[in-house]
Amino acid sequence: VKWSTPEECFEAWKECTRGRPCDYTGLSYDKLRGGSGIQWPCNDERPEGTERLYEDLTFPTFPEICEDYGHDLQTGATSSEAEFKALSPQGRAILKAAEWTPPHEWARDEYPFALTTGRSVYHFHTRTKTGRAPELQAAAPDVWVELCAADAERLGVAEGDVLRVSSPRGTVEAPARVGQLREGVVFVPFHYGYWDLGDDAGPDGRPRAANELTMTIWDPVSKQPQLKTAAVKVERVT
Amino acid sequence: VKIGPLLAHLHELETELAAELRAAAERHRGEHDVYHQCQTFALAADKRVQRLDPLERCYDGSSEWTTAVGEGSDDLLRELRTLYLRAQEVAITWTMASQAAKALRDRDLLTLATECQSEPEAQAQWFTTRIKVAAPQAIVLG
Repeated sequence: VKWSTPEECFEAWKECTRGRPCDYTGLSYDKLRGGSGIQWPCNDERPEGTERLYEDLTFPTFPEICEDYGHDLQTGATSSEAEFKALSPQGRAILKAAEWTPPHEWARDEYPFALTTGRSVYHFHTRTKTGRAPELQAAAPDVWVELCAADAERLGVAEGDVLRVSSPRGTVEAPARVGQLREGVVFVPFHYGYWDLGDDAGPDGRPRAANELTMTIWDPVSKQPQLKTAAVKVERVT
Repeated sequence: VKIGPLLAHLHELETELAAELRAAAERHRGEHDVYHQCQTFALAADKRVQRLDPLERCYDGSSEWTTAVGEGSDDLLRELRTLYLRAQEVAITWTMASQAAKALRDRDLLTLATECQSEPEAQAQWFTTRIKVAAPQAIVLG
């Protein structure tokens, strides 16, 4: 290992990208401090980066330069070199399709609601930064459960009532908001965990982390966690 | 004609596969991708059985399609199938060895494993080819 500081590490990592599709050998700490939004490839040829890729309609699908030979979208099984070569894309783009498959967990029976998780405009991820900005924290201080007017009426829930949302894996308790969702869907923002609640929040505090409800499974190719669907039940606590 | 027994055999194989996938999923619950993928594959096997069902009823499947080697007009076919499966077993085991060789940075073992993997794979393809030749006569006229 020839590096010991973050910048030396960055330099070594840059070298790994030389000649590759995401070449950023033209980047430097100075350039990164100077502005924002430098897009790869950024190299001797294009020192200011490249705003638009594939303008000449040539894609990195030559077997010698492609980063991998691709996957089956349904399972994530990798294609072999021979299969890729037989496809012979030669710089053309490859469009792949996958059949629709049901989510791993359906809303039914004991868990009749589909949960989806998402964001508030005021926060980023688990709020480790935005939760420390007083204005943002005040604008969206705590978790809520959102459901549509028809479901709220059916469950006898008014705005502000505390709801318990449970999946086979965990529970969230939070006040209700009646919003514009599809029937049968509940929304919980995922920003809220326990880091900022202090010691007394502990495991006995009101559970509020949306991803305690979601499944541990990921997209087979991108490995993106599938945090957007889970089957849940909704009960009124107070 | 042995198409009826063969379809009944397929039915049995698919059912066993689905059960094995589900059992494996439960045994490896902690490997979340394995768990879900095996469950998904099991559902697909169930669906194949459903699709097979109406065609299975068109043919008499009352006699058994034996997988034992040594007798019958389709003996060669069964033998070839067994060898195909053995060749695949050998190939995938060489794959395991080649991945381990990469981790060990053992170039000699990697070269050996890479070459030794492709041989049984090619042989399996030959068995596929030969099975295609043998199957119509053995199953339809046997």
